[in-house]
Amino acid sequence: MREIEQSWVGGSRPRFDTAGRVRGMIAHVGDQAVGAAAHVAVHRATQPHARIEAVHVDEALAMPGVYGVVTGADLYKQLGDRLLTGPAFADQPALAHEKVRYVGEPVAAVLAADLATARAATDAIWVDYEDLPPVYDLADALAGTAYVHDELRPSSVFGDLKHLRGVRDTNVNYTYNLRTGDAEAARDAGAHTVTGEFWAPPTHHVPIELPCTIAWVDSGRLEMLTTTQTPSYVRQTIADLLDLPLSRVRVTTRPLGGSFGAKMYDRLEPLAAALAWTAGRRVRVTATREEAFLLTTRHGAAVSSSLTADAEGNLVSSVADVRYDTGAYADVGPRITAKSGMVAPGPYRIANARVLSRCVYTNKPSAGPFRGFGVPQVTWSHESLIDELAHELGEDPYAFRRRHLLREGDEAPMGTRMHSADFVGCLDAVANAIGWFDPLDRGTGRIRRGRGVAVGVKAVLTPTIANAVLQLNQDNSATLLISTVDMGQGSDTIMAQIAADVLRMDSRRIHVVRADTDATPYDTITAGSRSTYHTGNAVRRVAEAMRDKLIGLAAERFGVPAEEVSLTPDGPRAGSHEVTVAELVHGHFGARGATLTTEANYTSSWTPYDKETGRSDKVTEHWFAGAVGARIAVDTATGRVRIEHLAVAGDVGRAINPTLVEQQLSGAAIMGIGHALFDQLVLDQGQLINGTLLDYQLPSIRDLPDQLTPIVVESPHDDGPFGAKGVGETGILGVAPAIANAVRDAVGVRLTRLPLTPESITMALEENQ
Amino acid sequence: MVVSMDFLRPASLAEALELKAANPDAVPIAGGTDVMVELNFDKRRPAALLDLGRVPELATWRAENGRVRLGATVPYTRIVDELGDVLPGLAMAARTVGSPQIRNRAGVGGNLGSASPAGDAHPPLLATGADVEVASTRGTRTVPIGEFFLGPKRSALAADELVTAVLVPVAAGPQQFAKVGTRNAMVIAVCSFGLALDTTRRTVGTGIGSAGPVPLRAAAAEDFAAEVLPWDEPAANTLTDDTAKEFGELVAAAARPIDDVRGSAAYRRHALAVLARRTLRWAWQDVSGR
Ligand SMILES: Cc1cc2nc3c(=O)[nH]c(=O)nc-3n(C[C@H](O)[C@H](O)[C@H](O)COP(=O)(O)OP(=O)(O)OC[C@H]3O[C@@H](n4cnc5c(N)ncnc54)[C@H](O)[C@@H]3O)c2cc1C
Repeated sequence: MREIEQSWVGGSRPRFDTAGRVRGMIAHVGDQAVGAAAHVAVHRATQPHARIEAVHVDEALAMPGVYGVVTGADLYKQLGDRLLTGPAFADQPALAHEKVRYVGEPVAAVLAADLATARAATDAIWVDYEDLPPVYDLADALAGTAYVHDELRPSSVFGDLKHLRGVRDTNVNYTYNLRTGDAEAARDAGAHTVTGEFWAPPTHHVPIELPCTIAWVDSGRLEMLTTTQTPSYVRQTIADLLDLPLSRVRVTTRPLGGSFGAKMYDRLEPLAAALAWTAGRRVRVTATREEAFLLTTRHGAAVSSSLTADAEGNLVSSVADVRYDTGAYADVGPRITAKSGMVAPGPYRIANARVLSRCVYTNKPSAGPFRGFGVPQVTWSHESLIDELAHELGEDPYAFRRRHLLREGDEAPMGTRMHSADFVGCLDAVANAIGWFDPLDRGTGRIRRGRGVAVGVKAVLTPTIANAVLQLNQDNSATLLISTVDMGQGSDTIMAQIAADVLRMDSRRIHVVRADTDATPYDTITAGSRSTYHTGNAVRRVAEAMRDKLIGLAAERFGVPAEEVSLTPDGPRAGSHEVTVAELVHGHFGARGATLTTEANYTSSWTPYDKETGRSDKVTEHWFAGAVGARIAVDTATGRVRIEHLAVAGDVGRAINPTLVEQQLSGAAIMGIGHALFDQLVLDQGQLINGTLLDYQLPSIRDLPDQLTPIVVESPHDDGPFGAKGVGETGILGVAPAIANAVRDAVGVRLTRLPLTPESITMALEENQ
Repeated sequence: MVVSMDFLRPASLAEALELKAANPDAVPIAGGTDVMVELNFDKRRPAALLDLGRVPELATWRAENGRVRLGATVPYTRIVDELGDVLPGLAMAARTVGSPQIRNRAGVGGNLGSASPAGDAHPPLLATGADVEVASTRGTRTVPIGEFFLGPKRSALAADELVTAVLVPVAAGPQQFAKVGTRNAMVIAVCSFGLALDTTRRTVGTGIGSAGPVPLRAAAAEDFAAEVLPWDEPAANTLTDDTAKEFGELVAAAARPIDDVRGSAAYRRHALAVLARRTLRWAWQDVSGR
């Protein structure tokens, strides 16, 4: 392959920022010089659920270096109900107003000359509370005697929740129902049913970079530099909060040092904007590592479910009751509840399916988006059930799945057909990789070996909007303006590859501009693995428009019809006519350094699911299909699991950059190992007790599998850019069940609660004896 | 408001002891891997830090009278590199502490200073019957390791005293250390166990970590093993399953664990029995291999 082609679609060119990221040469938001600013620290609630009687700030105010102390009541006076923000429900105040709803909720903000002073002053604030009955967990919440919110307040962001306005006396803020056929009757009539009570605990994203927001007022405009994956969303939220036209709000970003969903929607930004606006000062808000644990979490989820086969082993019924614990504020929980609830039956042909999926408020830190968007929690259920059903029927768990997996054109239980979702190819790939068909030394003594597989399915966020603006410089380099945020996934690199492929130029000559709402066009969000497909399509289109423009100019110059002109790496050609892009553009403008501009949009569409049945013929623009295979060894004396081989496959349609795809698959798999074996936020009476990196366990280098095999599966999508789809989440979906299924294979115990700690395995082994 | 803190930097042990006597509230800082965590979490705001990093007497080790006199600030990395043959149990434990960065900074003096029941150096010190050497301007004394720990994070150190060294008997037989954590590296023990066999005197030493208010010895297990181990015919197969099992159970019975975020008391007991059984086997294999 020529070097230039290596920089196009399908080439594994290195990402442009690797060296800078590794050597710390890329400045993140927190590294930016802030100049004269008020540094902000937050006093946090000590009670899980209480009415705020009084906030005593005098002592803090009297401390030298303290500029001011702001409470929720102060902000409410200025902003009224606009203080409450959120993507689904306008339920979260930047600072607690009237009530606190979780231990750690911001109650008052100190503005001071430096961060140490601000932090010290937060200790000099105290609050009088009148305790309210706490809702500690799902059971408390569903018992329905105490309520986290008095009534539901749908926000203006997600338009489809309006019917919930004013609903009272419930902690369930959203319910999704799937009804296909009669699943209960089919279950009762079925020959073989397996059931389970599954639990996936809350976890935290732990990106390396901590969140940071700097906000200031300039010429009557609110400007901010912030760590966000959702600049366009934040601009709208701040405009609504401060009642400003969008043109008077500017949100800019820097490359993020990881995020995984932690830096989405309303994090530090509403507080920073409200403080900067009301105090008229530049403010810098940041969070310590310990505070970051409280900002957002992954939903803990309970799934009570069953899977039924008839006498011939055909799947006839899937039933699931899914409860997502969304904590004190709904964030994007209702979306997760619907989009993940609807795949609770798994990627299988099942005639009858019933899902009840609920999003539930509790007095805990809020849960929001997290790589996988709620799907790993239901995958944990359906991939454990089908495995157990295979065991019960005496069938091979791999072959049993394969027999039932959805194929191209098949309709999933929620009514949408499959396209470019090669579950079978992914499953085959991981099974082969881990040696499923070879004999296994299972061990006879303390160490026992086993193998497991799991398959995952996820819908892409739909509908969403992407825009791109391309400026081709006269010297045949280009500047691409999009609002996708590169947080390490490599989007800037692959977007340049897409544009360069269309324009037959070297992608290293394309600069992708960092999201800046003053300059880069609207883009719904960088999340849900949507950018390669959506923004990628906008980028493909904007480059095609540019190609057409160049061809038009060349046709004019050559005096030939446009159809006769082709674009080559050396410039436009038509028969014996040739010109370089630089000459062409120079000739057009009569100037060096001039730019040609094009713009393009890509918007996906969907058919909203039916409120009664939960079904839709197009619930998503496309599907993600993935599979995981694990070969593990269990130390039966201590219960420790050692992963000998983990293979992870994802159908990406077409890999724009195979190396980056492999990195996403591997990274997701490693994160999944944590969720399988030790990652969890432990709360005791609403108090987070392991929210430090000393206590919160993430995979260390020694917890990696002996062998980790990422596998790229390609079944091109008709409408994807070059057939491509995203891959950020595909790799994580099936990791935990694949490992648990391997434990089942090795030692015969079925665990239904994550994580699979040595202790839980040991206890299960003892009970089994 | 900037919190100010004196940073005292003695250049000799005598100076360090004088500073400590004059400022009993000063917090000694060796590697700082516990102290800095506490300061960062704002768990304490001492008026002064007493830096031991420039006290040469604390940073060396030497062999004397069948024991190693290990200076309080010798980092774990050096223990691993230099003392693996004479203090194998301690070196094994040192290898499991934190990460390479932590092992480059931290040492046994700080582990003792923190007196955490989870300190990984403690089980091998208990198993080998080490002494802790402590000093003040009043003089120097040695505290048997079994008397050093008074409670969770409380030790026999007086306010004006510093740990100067530990005196650890040179290994007279195989030693082992094993630890169960919630992951494979950078982990505080769920429980840990140190074992030292003395094949000359035919004694067995034990140390239990993370399973009680203080690091513990399992005296009954020690006596049992010393009595029943077939010292005269040290072949691998002479250690019976029953002996290993009973040893494990006696060790588990000596623990006084609690439930916490890392594990339940029941699992700690179970895991200790496994570790004890397993380390006894490994050690006995070593005996027979000698
Ligand atoms: C990331 C991380 C991982 C860790 N992992 C482990 C682990 O796996 N196992 C483990 O056991 N520990 C672990 N620790 C804790 C810590 O590293 C150990 O306790 C270490 O032995 C402390 O040594 P130090 O020299 O850093 O002590 P310092 O932090 O300097 O001091 C610790 C305490 O001892 C006091 N002190 C220090 N020296 C003396 C002295 N000479 N006389 C009297 N008092 C003194 C100090 O005042 C302080 O109270 C870890 C810590 C971190 C941050």
